[in-house]
Amino acid sequence: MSILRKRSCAVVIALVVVCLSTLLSVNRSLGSAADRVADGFYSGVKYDGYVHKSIYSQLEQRSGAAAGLVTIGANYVALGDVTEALRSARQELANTMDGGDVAAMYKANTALQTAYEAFVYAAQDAGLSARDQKGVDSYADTLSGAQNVIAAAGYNESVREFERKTLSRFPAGLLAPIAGVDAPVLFE
Amino acid sequence: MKKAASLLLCLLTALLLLLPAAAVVEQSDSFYAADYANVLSEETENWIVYFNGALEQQCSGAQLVVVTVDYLDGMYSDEYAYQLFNNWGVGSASENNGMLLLLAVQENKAWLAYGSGLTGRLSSEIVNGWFDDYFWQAFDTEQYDAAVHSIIENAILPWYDETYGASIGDGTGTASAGQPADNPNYNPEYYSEYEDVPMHTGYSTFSFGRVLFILFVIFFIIVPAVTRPYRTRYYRNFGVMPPLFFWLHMNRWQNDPFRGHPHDRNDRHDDDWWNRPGGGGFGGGGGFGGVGGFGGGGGFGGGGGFGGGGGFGGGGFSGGGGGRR
Repeated sequence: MSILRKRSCAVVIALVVVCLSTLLSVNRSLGSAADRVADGFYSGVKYDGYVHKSIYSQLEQRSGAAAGLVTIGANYVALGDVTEALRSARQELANTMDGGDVAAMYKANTALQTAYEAFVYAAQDAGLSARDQKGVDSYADTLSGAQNVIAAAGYNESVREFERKTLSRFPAGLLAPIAGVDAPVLFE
Repeated sequence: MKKAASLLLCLLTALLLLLPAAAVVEQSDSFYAADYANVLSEETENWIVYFNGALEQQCSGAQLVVVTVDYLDGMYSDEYAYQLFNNWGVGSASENNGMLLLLAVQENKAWLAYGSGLTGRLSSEIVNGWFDDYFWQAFDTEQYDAAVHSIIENAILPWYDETYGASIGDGTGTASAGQPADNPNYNPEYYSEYEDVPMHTGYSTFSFGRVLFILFVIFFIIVPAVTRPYRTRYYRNFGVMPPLFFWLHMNRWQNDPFRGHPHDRNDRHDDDWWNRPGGGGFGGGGGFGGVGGFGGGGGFGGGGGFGGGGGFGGGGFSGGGGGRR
């Protein structure tokens, strides 16, 4: 253990300790900041003085409304194909929501929108009963209303602001990937 | 051929303009409480109906309607609230002293709209203060019953008490409180008297306002399209042949003929905007021949009445409000 008594060894150990502690502190501080931004996807982003509804909560609303449309569409043979497509899209969205992958949720939501639009278009000529038509209109209001809220949620803007003000600047931009800090993912 | 095409285009435009804008919810059976978002308890809804009896008896026919929805159908909360206010005819027709509290729970927004009869005594600053002090804390934590109770008990009802010398208190019961049906001014057959006015869809099929609008289109759009080659130099400034009624007042309209006040969203928080004559103008706040039309008169037609709700060349919704847009 005579090597430990050498000055060069002490310098190396000091350097290693400094680097590791720096990376650890960057991971802790930058990581928590990134987590707060990412959490906005689930709990909502505050701007204009209040917390807006989160994208995740609105995806839940859309998923629920899509399930309602599937229930109605199942009663009509003419809507068989579009109902099945809507059911698949809704299931895919539900799966991605369980998985937590924001980019995947965006793709699934886009697919759901396409399936929903096809359903509504087909439903116009399907001869729905008055009650079912009212149900479709109500679910359609929820789907479109939730999509509007998603568009105004402010999450993507908060992610871009975090990247612009923090992650793109020195030394955070240099140390973040080394320290294992994951940047929040945009919902697009 | 061109003339026919332009005529057809004018007619189509006129027809399109007659259609209502974004859809708002229909009036509820109880009128005073419309919980479309299913966030209020039955006790709260019953309480709202109950204290409105005292409100109408002691405050010159005033009414407070509470509406909850999930989404605003792409509208701002104030637009949605004003459209409801006019469509449903909230408050006394003569005093225009009603209020409508709108909660859009999935958008985290709320708005309190009040009639033009209260404009001099109420302002958006006061209303926003009510929201800050009594409403947002509970609303933002999804305690909607508590939020509605708090702002009504602590701000709105006391304000009516003070303004009208009433004694409604917290609305849980006073000697003069009662069901709306006890109110001699309450007309349970109100809407049956206006069966030709489909209040649910927000516009009348053949209202006076709509007739005036059609006449306007005929005289100021279709006629000039047809008579273009025959216009004389006297109409150079307008490019139209005004009917006799306006002929006599030509000089008055020289500078600003038939332009209402612009519907500028940026002016919404300026109380003075709402106090300008003709605040709605054409296509402004209440719109012309759009929401409410002239089907709101009589009984508690309040905000929808002539000069209160939609109107020709003026009127529109000229009350005020506050909240989150």
